[in-house]
Amino acid sequence: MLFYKSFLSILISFQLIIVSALINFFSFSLFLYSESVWDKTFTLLGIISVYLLMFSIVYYNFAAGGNIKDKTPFGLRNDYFLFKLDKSDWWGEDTRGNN
Amino acid sequence: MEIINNILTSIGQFNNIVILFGTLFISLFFGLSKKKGLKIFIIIITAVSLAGAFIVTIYNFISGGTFSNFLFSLAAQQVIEICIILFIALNILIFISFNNINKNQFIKIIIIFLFTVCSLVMLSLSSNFIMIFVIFVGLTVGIFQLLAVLNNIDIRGYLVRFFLVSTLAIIVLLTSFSVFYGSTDFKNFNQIFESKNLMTNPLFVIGIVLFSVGIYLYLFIFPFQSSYLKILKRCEQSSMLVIWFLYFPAGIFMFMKIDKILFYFLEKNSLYLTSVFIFIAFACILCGNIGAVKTKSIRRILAFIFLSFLGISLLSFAMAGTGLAGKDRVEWFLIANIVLLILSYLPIYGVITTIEKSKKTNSPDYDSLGNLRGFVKFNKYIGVNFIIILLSFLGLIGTAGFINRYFYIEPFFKLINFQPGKTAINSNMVLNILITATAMIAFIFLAVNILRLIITALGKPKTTQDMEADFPDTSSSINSKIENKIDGSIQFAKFYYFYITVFSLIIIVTGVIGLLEILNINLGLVPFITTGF
Repeated sequence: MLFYKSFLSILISFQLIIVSALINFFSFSLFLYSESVWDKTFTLLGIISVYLLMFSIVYYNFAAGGNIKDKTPFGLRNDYFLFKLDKSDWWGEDTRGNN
Repeated sequence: MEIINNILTSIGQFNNIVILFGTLFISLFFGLSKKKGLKIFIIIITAVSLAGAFIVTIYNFISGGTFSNFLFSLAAQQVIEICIILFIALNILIFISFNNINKNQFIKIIIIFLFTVCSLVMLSLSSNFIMIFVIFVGLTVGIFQLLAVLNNIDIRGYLVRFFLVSTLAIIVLLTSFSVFYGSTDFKNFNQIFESKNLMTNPLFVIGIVLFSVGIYLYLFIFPFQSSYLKILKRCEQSSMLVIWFLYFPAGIFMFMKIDKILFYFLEKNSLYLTSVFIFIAFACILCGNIGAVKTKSIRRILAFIFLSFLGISLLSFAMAGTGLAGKDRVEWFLIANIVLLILSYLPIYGVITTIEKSKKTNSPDYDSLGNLRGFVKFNKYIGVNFIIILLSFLGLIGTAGFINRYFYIEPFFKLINFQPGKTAINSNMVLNILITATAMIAFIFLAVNILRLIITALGKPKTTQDMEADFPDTSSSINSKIENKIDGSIQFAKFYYFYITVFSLIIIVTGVIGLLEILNINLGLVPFITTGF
């Protein structure tokens, strides 16, 4: 996931981890601690807050002056690598236009 | 009347949060206003509420003592954390106000800022997993919005990438909480810590590993530093403080919530875990400091040194693993490192941002180290204070930085004194030697970086010939030459003379009090101890 270039791929893989965490919660709550309400509360509040964060990032990324555009504003040459290292991240200077 | 009394009793320990939320509520009414008078009014009530919350926190703790309930708990550590947060918030408010008061959305910025500070205070207080997680995510949303509203749209790509990494960290944390729940059915870390047999559960260990990975990612520790370094180089000035002192402390406070469990594992598996901590700390310190040496941009130097300080904090866990430092001392180190960074970075930040502002905004060298040249010669008063603060950061005796260095170095001297003739080499001794080497490398590199800043600031001012040589091809070089004819003569705001003096005094007074405590001289100057909990 760290090496996905596209914004959409990153978001989809985020969902997959969230779903796996959810399955974890529910499997434990159904079979192990069946009388607990605590985990449902956690799941509900946790998922709402994580989606709020993701929503605000997605909205910010696509918004332009209050209107949402139908595509990312950066075009093809921009990428969203979460783990992208070039020389400037370790060593020497970083120029302003460098992505 | 009885209802009011009941409400007051139930919010007893949360007066600080009530004050901050009250100010937030009042600010909401003026959110759309663009009037300067109202902006100043909002700044004043925010500053008063932050100061009030600071006093109330200490007063409540002295009068009410510790408390804990299903969701929150308060002990001395939380009080110190909250006081640090409120002190930071007051300083960031000053800089945000200076930089953004003319913006139309200024009051909205303050509203989001207050929300972020409230979340950070509540994060420090929360003990239940639900509270910890939800407030942590809320805080990240707050910081994201604050940075988004402070910055121009042209750095959007960098900001999005920065927060995509944070989001990934948060989702990893969510997974770790689901594993904690499955392995223990407990609701907070204290309960887990109290039942020692559960900690041998492999599922629980996986939870702790996932939690640590999440925090590691959240703090952008090497090799994930890319987005952090890129945004810090390009962001608007007050955003730097928001990232350093609202975003990073949140990660460190989260890490401190599991420190007792980490100590338990360190005692059990001291060899492997200590080696891991030494490796991470060494990588952080080496990469951070070498990165700082190789760049001429002041922003990047400070960003790299901040990361190397995270490495120094992690080194203290390795010290606990080999018995060089106690558990209390490690907690002290984590807090002391944050405090030292605050005391050093805030006044330095003031100097470098003023220098940046004196340059053209689109100038390629707006944050170049060369701009510091001759600064002390033309601004003697601020220059002297600037050097005192840098020397304290370096660890000069009698300043706040020295107390921090002393407790890192002291255990090694004790070790040498206790084992003068011992020749048998065991794994613990090898680890101790590695920790010593890492600490020495950290402080030598740090000294090199700070001396570089001091020497540049003391150097001769730039002449016009130098500037021509620096930018021979720049078409606008004639304009910039005229603007910076006497390079180094920078106009500081009058307030800033007062600000930097206060910080120098705090650094010297803390340093002297700490030195007296180290020398075991008790003059009864302050009612608390600065060199330990």
